[in-house]
Amino acid sequence: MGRPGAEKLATYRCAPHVSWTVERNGLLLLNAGNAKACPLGYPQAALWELLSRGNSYRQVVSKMRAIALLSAEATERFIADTMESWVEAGLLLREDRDG
Amino acid sequence: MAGSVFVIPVLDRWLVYAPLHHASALVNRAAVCRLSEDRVQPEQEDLASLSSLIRSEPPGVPQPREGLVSPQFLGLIPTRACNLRCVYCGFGAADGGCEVMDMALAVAAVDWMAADAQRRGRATLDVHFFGGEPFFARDVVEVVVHRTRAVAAEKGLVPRLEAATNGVYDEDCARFIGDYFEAVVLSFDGFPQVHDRRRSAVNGRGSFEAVARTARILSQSPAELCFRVCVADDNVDHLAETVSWFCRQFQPAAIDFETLQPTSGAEEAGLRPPDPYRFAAQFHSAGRIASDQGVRPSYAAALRETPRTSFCPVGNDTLILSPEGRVSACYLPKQEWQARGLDLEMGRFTVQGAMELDRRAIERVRSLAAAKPRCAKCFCRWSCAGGCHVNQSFPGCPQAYNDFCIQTRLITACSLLAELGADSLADRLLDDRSAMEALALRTSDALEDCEEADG
Repeated sequence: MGRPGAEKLATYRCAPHVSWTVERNGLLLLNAGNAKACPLGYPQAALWELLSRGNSYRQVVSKMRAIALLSAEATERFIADTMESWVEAGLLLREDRDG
Repeated sequence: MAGSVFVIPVLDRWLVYAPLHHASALVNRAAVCRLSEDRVQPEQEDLASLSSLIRSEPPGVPQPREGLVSPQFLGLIPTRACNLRCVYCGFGAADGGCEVMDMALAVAAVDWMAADAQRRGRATLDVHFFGGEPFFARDVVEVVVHRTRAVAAEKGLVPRLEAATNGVYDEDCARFIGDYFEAVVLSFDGFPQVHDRRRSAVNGRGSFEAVARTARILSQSPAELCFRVCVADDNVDHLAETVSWFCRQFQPAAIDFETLQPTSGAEEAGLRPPDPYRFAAQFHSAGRIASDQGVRPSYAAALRETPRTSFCPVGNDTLILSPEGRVSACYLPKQEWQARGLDLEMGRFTVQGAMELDRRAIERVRSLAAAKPRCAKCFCRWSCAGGCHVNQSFPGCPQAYNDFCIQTRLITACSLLAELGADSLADRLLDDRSAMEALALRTSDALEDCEEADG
């Protein structure tokens, strides 16, 4: 997934050792790398789901705005912050390339 | 007692059925006479206790709804458009337009329903999708699914998502449905030659392969999968083999059989509704095969545990939101109800979250559940409840039983016999056309009208 307008385009993909199941209140991510389970509530669960099903960045923003009832700016911030936290937790891998 | 105790002829026996008392019995003609004339001897203990039960006030007579609107579920039609051109379509897919529900409207409706469910102390937040083909507007469905789950989690409700679908989409969409929906009704008419003849894509290609693939994915998912089979004159004699194959290949939770609703498209394609007697007999045999395989057979108008006054969303306060924000009691296109002289519209919903319901319209729709003169003396009145308000029990519909009534009466009688452990009597009934006609065409089943038993 690339972010339009950024100097560097970042592509993210799910870490290969992460799998997930759908739970009543969100998702449960299982990180086989460190044997940790990571429950995701809403709206984070929706973001993970939308990213994993191949939506474009524009689609993710549009859908997350509707799901989380946020402004466009707040939605973009939420997406960026959440994805960053997932990268830090080893759930997402970021591959930077020149834009 | 009037209108709540029925007697039904089954060959040389009589089925006494009191749906509101939850009682049924198989008796002979003399017993019916005694019950009818209230001259049961105390020493006939079983009959005396039945007589006493059916002469008591029933514990609860279902009534049309009153008071504030209390929807059991929110119905959403994300679009009227569809990727198929089924020959018998009654949902106006060909000219349904391509309007897609605004995501903000859909989300506002879910939030309204969640607030209503919480206010009423309900445990679940129920959202059902209808079409067109709902997944033809997949973006809207995705947003609604996640908003429903998000708001349900926030309010301590259990999200319950259901959809009626044609199953024609990619594997990813099928997996999404399997992951997030509690129940899916998948239209699947059976073997390729039957299914493809009836349910082709816009480009004319058959849809069997895609539906079978979706069925396989859904059958392995946590979603409860129900196949909906349209039964016409070309497949009524193959229901048993269709069911065996379905059970073997897909193991759905349920298989629902509904007869073809005549449309001009169906007529042009040479499809006609099945003979109702044949349908009842074939449903019975196919249903037994399904049950033996652990698959639940169903028919929308069939016997059920709780008596009801309406068989569909109409009269049950269900709010169904169209793509453009109209709120109605029925998911069929407006022109279908208007052609029957019905107005099932109840108001509108706005993107700002305002549910603007018309009080008089609600009362008008609710009153339809009570206005079914044809059903007054039919033993199925509290289970079938007149069937579809648009296609079967519309204002001014003929008083005589139609094919739907005939098959429903036979299927219901056989279910009652099965409950009484009299399966072999049901088999004999379904093997005897004149006995079936005697049961199906009887104008009044009310015990108080029973004269034949004396004859």
